[in-house]
Amino acid sequence: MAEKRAPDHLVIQKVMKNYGGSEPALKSVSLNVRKGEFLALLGPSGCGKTTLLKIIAGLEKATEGQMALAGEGLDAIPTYKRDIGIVFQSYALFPHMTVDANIRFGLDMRGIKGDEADQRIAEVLELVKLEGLSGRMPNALSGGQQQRVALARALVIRPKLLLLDEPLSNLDAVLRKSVRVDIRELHERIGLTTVMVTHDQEEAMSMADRVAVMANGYVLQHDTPETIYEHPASAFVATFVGSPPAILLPVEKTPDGYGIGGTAFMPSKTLSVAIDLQNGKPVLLGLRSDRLSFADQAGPLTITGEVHSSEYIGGSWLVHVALGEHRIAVPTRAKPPQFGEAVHIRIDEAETLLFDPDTGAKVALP
Amino acid sequence: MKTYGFAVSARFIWTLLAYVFLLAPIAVLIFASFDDASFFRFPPKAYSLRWYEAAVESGEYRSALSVSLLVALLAGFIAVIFGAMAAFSLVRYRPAGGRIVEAILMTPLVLPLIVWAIALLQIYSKLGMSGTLPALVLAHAVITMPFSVRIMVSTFADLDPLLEQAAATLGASPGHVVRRVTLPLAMPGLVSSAAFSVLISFNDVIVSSLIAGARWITFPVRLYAQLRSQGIDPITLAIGSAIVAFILVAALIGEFMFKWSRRL
Repeated sequence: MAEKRAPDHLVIQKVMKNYGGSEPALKSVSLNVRKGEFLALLGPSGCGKTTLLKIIAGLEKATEGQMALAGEGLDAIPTYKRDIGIVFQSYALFPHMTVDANIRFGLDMRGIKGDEADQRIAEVLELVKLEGLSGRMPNALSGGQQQRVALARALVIRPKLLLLDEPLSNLDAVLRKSVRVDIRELHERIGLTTVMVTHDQEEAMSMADRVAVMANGYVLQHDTPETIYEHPASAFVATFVGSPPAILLPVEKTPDGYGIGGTAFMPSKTLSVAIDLQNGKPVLLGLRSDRLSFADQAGPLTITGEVHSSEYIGGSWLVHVALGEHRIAVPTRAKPPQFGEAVHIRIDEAETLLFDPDTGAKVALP
Repeated sequence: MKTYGFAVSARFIWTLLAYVFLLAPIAVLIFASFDDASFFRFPPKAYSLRWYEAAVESGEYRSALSVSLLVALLAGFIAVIFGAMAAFSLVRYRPAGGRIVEAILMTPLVLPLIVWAIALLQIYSKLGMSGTLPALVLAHAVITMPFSVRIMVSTFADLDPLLEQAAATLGASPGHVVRRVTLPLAMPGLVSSAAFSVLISFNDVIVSSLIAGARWITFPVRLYAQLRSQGIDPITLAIGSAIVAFILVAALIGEFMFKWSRRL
């Protein structure tokens, strides 16, 4: 793919931010965003993603580290000279200005007036499908319309970079899905390098070319959504990403093999070697329930458990299996086994994830 | 319900009393100002505009009024500028000890002004500025400051700093941010605090009478002096009524345009 070869547009090197507390909000973050790429900064609240966005925009100063945009160092450039468009979570439309004046603001600041300004405003209003509303005041618009005004206002200045701060979180559930598609389509049409902050993994995975998963001020993994889903770099990433997210089960060594929560687990040869290499330390097995199925009998790559409950989810069943104190859901199209029945869950070696329970780090298969 | 009925009628009587006490003197003032008599009496017996004519012609009152106006405008200007700046940094930067600073700025509201003014007089005489216009203006700026600080604190607390940040990302330099975003959004607050500052300064007798020298006699001080020496001069009633009418109109406009009653 040609896009993958695109040059780096935004380069963030070892950016650190300390607000003065004992723990920095950002601890040495390095990222690169390629030209035309859509990057999602994904993480739970307090992971530092919004801080990073503000640092990129120049609204916060990094305590340490460097940034460059289009090959130019950003650190000494004040916000108003950065040419970075941002759409805030609350939209931050100027309440004392009409839609037209809100969008015109950035053009005014660049000395763009008259016909050119009018034409650019008309273009961008068409792009976000807001024609005919330019005379309204922001408080006379719906949330979705306000967001599109904010987007138009950021796009009309033809920024070098577009930042989106939780762009969907103030919209209702129905609108959210359609706006998700709209923003992605817009991105494909204009090809503007975009960084979006979100705490919603579904949003990040569906909209972005690459995702940077953040927690506690670190970037844990920065890769394509597929790689992050299939090969999570740590236990945190595995449990944060994917719907359903991965479930972590501690594997212990038993006198006659391996077990999970007191039930029998039969790993493959490769898996057992990897587990044995941990020198008796327990290992976390990461499983995604949509990749599980039932096996007729115990054998390699099966876990034996007991049916706890089951629910019909339309067309198929979700069977909740108890493995000692742990629960795991297994989908099945066949009529589910009865309560208390012993069942064997088949896992796929290629999709099996192993993590160190202390560090959360991925345990490589030999 | 009986208790309910009692509560309602008690509240009605209470409200009525409040209005009577508040408005009756003003009504007396306005009626008396149109009286034809050459002394203050109530109720009036014959009506004329003679005291209004006399007020317009009186040089003494005209000069006192212009001193009051000058002092009020200058003091209001200082109070609004510095009050707004103090409020902005209190709200936006939340400095350590900010609450103490705010409390100190509010003290003129609770201070016995006469004691404060006497002390200030001593300081002014040491500085050699007793009886000067700057002395009077500064003293008024201090007593009007609490109002502009209070109004501007609530104004800036309502102003989302993200709007300023959004303006900056769109290419507005700090100067442009202030001119195009901060000031327009703070304007209702600024107008309200200017109006209150001017009124507070205009109403002051205590501080003005102690600080003002012979050259800078404000209208309330002139009125008070007149009252002490010759009793009530009907001219003051005419001027007083005119001022009340003016303030009433200003208050109505302020209420409709800037919701003054909700800013204090």
